[in-house]
Amino acid sequence: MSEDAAVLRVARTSHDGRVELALSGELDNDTLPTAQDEVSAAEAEAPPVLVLDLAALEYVDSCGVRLVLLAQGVADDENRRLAVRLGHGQTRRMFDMLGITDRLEVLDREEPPS
Amino acid sequence: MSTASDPFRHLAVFFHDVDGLVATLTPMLTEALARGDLVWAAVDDPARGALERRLGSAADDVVFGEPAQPYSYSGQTTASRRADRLRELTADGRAALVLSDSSTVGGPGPRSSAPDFWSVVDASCNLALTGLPVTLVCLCDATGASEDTERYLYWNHPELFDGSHASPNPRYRTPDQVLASVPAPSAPPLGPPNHLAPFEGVTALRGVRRATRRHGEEAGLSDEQVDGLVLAIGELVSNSIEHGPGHGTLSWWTRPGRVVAQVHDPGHMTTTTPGLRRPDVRSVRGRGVWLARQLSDVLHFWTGVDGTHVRLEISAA
Repeated sequence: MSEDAAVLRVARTSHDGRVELALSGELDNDTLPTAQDEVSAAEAEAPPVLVLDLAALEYVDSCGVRLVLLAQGVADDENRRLAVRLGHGQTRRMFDMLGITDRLEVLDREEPPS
Repeated sequence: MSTASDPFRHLAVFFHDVDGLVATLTPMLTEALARGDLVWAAVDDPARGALERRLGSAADDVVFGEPAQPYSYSGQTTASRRADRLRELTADGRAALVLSDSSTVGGPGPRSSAPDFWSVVDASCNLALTGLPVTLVCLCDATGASEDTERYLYWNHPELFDGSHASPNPRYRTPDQVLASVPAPSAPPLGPPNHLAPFEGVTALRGVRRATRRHGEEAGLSDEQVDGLVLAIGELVSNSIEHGPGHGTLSWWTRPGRVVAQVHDPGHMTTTTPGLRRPDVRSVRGRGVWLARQLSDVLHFWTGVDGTHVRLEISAA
């Protein structure tokens, strides 16, 4: 890996039947496999609710959309819920621009899933 | 013709004189105005005068001009901007009717009067306007039409007017077929870049973004524009790495208030029209180039013998 390669960190928490993955750093084509591995590991536990928190990412491109939509597909197929935190910055603007925000369960930063 | 799932219509009318043109268009215009549709007419002064006389006070609701200016050397960009503007204007649920006479609306230079320039615009519109409640009617003066003009008009318009009725056009070709025959031209030459750097593999993306941010800031773009530039270039380079040979170059022509960047790789695109059709919200992939188009003033793809190029331009707001 190049010294200049992007770094992605994923912090995982679990409580009250939900698993939450909080991503920070940079999510691009380089780091997407790491994020997908973390999501797959969480999905394997079949939590009733999986929350992907993208609000603290310094950079995210359309890979972030791919990550969320793939997770949404799995949740739909398995009759579970996916929720996302997008914050109010560039991540949210990108999802809005693509017309996807309204199709997701979007939570505010500290808001628990209902 | 529009279909049950796609309300977009793209028609052409050959006319020999203004009176004949107005007679052809009046029923469609009258119906559109009665429905409360948005109506634009990019026509010359004699046609405008004749339409105003024929429509009477109803002509007050016609906007004379193009919904999306200006044109650039890039027909893809023209189509993309047209789609963005029409998407915005029809967001309230109203439909739009646009009359477009290419000889009237002109373009950015001598090349824009060439039939192949307008063929790229028309074929690109057939992709970019898909799904929009828009009827685009292209007007062609038969008295001055060259063989190329006539051929491209048949290729790019699913419906043709015959009198005041529109009929399906059996000579219509899909945008991919048209753009394979008449591909997008190369962007105008710019001379040696201020800066050129190679990239290879996905681990290069972070460095590309850092350099991009620096170029945007040096050109004096706003913070939001710099963020958009970083995202757009990130998507284009990522696209080149993922779908091309995995390596290429990124060139910069930067001056105060303006950034021009160009991504080049030695691969050949399998699609003739990247990022023109708005991605389906259910689709997992294929959003990067469309996103880059939204974030730039001009985005132009072309393929040459040496590979695939994409030029992006952003001017300070």
